[in-house]
Amino acid sequence: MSLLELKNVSYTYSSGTPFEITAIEDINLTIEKGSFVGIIGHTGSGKSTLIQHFNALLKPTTGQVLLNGKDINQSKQSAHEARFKVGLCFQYPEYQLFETTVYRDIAFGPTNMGLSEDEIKERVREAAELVGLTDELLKKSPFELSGGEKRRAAIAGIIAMRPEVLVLDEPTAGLDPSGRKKILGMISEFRKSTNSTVIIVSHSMEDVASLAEKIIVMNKGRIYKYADVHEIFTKSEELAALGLEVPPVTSIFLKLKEKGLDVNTDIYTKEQAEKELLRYLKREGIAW
Amino acid sequence: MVRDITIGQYFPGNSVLHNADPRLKLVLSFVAIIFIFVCNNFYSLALVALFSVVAVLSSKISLKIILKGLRPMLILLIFTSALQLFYNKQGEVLFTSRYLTITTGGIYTTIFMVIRIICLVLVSSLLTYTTSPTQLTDGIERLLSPLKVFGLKNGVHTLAMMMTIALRFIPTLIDEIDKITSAQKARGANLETGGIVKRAKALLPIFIPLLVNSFRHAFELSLAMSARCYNGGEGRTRMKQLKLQTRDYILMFSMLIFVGGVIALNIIFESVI
Amino acid sequence: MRMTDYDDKKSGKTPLIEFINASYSYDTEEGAETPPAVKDVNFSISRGEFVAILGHNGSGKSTVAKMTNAILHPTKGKVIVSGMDTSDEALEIRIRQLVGIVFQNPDNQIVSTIVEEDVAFGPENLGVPPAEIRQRVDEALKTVGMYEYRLHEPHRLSGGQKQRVAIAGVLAMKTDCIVLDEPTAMLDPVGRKEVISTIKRLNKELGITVVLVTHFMDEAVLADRIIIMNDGRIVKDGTPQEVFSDVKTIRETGLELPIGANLAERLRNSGINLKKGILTAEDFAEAFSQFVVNNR
Repeated sequence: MSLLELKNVSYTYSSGTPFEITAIEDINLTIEKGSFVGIIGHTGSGKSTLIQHFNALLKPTTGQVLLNGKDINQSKQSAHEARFKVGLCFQYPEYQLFETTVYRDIAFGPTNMGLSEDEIKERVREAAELVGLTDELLKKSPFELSGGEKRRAAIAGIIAMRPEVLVLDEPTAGLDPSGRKKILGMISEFRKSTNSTVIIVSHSMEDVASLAEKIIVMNKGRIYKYADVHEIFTKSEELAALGLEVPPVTSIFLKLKEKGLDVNTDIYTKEQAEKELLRYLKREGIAW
Repeated sequence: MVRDITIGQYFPGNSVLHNADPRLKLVLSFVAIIFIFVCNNFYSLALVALFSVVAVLSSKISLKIILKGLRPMLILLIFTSALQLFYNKQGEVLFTSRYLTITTGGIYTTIFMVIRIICLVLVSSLLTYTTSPTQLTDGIERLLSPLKVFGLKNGVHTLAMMMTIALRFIPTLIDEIDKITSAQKARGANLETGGIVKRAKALLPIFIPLLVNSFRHAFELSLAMSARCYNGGEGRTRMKQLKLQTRDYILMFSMLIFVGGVIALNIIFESVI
Repeated sequence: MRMTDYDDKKSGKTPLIEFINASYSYDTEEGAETPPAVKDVNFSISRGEFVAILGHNGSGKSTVAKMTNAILHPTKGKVIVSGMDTSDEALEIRIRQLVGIVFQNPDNQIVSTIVEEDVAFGPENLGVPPAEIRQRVDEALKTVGMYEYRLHEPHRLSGGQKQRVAIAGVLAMKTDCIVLDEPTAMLDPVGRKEVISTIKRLNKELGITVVLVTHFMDEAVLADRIIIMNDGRIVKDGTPQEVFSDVKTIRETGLELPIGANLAERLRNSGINLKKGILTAEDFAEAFSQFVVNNR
């Protein structure tokens, strides 16, 4: 079932002046309920502008954005509601923390929803648990947390709104390997426990390939391709032409293929790689 | 949007005005602004307008940008000229009805005011359009350098450095305000409705992160400046030396002609305002 | 234990930077004793080396970077730059002239509103004559490939371009060594490539000593030598091949193996003995196909 639908959406900055720039053009897109979608594209391809249409932060210059079949830009009310149904977490969200305690910061969204005190409490606890923040940390000022903890607190602030769609812009940017792993694990956990739809924008092909089922490739403000992960990453030349790369693991298999080894190149994660290499060796009678 | 404002921006180029000494530009802009107000009849006003147009043309800055810079003034211009036109009762009556009377005095002052304001905006924005902020602060620092005699030696340099950094960080902070605002809106922050107290309170989620981030910027910048051997104004040299050149003297001479012209026309012709 | 075996191997070169039992603790407001950010660190860096310092966030690697040019002074022990003690305030400027730093956030290290004026900032502080500054600025901007952008406003540049301007700012000071503190952490893949290839060129073509602080394994493998930090201490110091063959230490310090090493390790655990020293994707593809040929 389609949850989020964009119909002929275009967006022009500084519209009506000589300085107008069209950031996205003629976008037609359907996000299925419960799917996990990755958005890739180089800087300036329109990814950020696109995702800000999902929760009515930007109103399309032309076209429509439908959530559950309803136009979210119909009224101020509908736009306001869309913010809670589509939780959008920006890049470096830790720089938006502002409250006196982590608890209150996570509660900001739910409070704006006008929920009861008890309901807010429950949601904050739930979100905090999901991202792995202890009660101890909830009492602290957000400015006392470490970088990785701040990032998780900020994401918890979005999760606490219990959005139907969680949109994350570069959730692992600037983190070290263990911080990255934590965030990625958390995102999978969120999806599993809530069955929500998740959309993730990332420069890391590895992250996208390991999490997402479908991928949107943006180029010059348009959707270049929207397809299953394997369909996108088997076309490495096409991606290269757009200034994008395949995941590092996939690049190894493409190289092996080039060297005349008959391996499957439809491989994105290290786990898959290990299996495929062993399978190949077995088949060739080299290992057993 | 905030980023559409061009006043105070710099547009790199290679014109007579771009290459002129910033100290000279500062002084000449000041003189020009005074003489925009000194003119008191249509002949000297015409000279002022001509001067402004020539100045704009010699900056080689695209007309688009110039017009965009004028746009924010439009409402002010319309509003004040309407006031002048309808409430100034000097001179001959040209038109009258129950509610309004239009007089020659009204028309004259309106024309004067509109042209003066436009010229004022043009001339003063040309200064920033053609002078990089660093050159500008450099110019201010050197113009103020006689103050060093009064024991303000480091003060002048510090002031100039502060201005440079402030100018450097304006676009960064504007970007940041945009980002924080979007992020808080995405959490349902309501910034548009409610009374003054409620709206002021609603700004806290934007103001606090902005403040915290500004401190971070300031702290990191100070480290970066130390790492590049910054140690106050003492012993510093400048890549771009300020030395008046022939073209600067030509500029000065043209300014003298303009000033003399305005004075002469003011004396020869009768004042109309 | 002093970890200077590597230095001994390269004997003949004088050390440019030397950490001798150096520790650093950040002050707290209450005056309470905080665990030191850097504990009893010993290493030296020779002229012309390309050293990567690896570690997770909070491992002390950034603190070490700031200690190399007297931004932070060791609270215990010594840091010596070309024979000068960084704790001696009178030598501060001379030390910073030898060792320049590029920081993580490209926005927070550009002082001026015009690219070329920003690059001139360092030499201006040093009191270099104007004509020479002009020459140095042009040269530095050409080296990092930003000469055409010399009159641009920094805030309109991409992250990678801004970092290259920051590098030019250090080059214009004619430093012997450039320390980069996670210079690519905030950049997109294109920007990362620009910056990394610039760094490599500075080291290989101009012979500038490079210290690259990073948590990207694929960047660290480019160095001649890797120092791994954990919990304020140096836990490993050697060539990339040496360092990444110690899988246990890498895991324990919250780091990852580079992609090639990772796959090779996985296969080894299944009894496939690929050759040692595989680091990158290229290495792996090469070694694996060789293995297939040899065992067919």
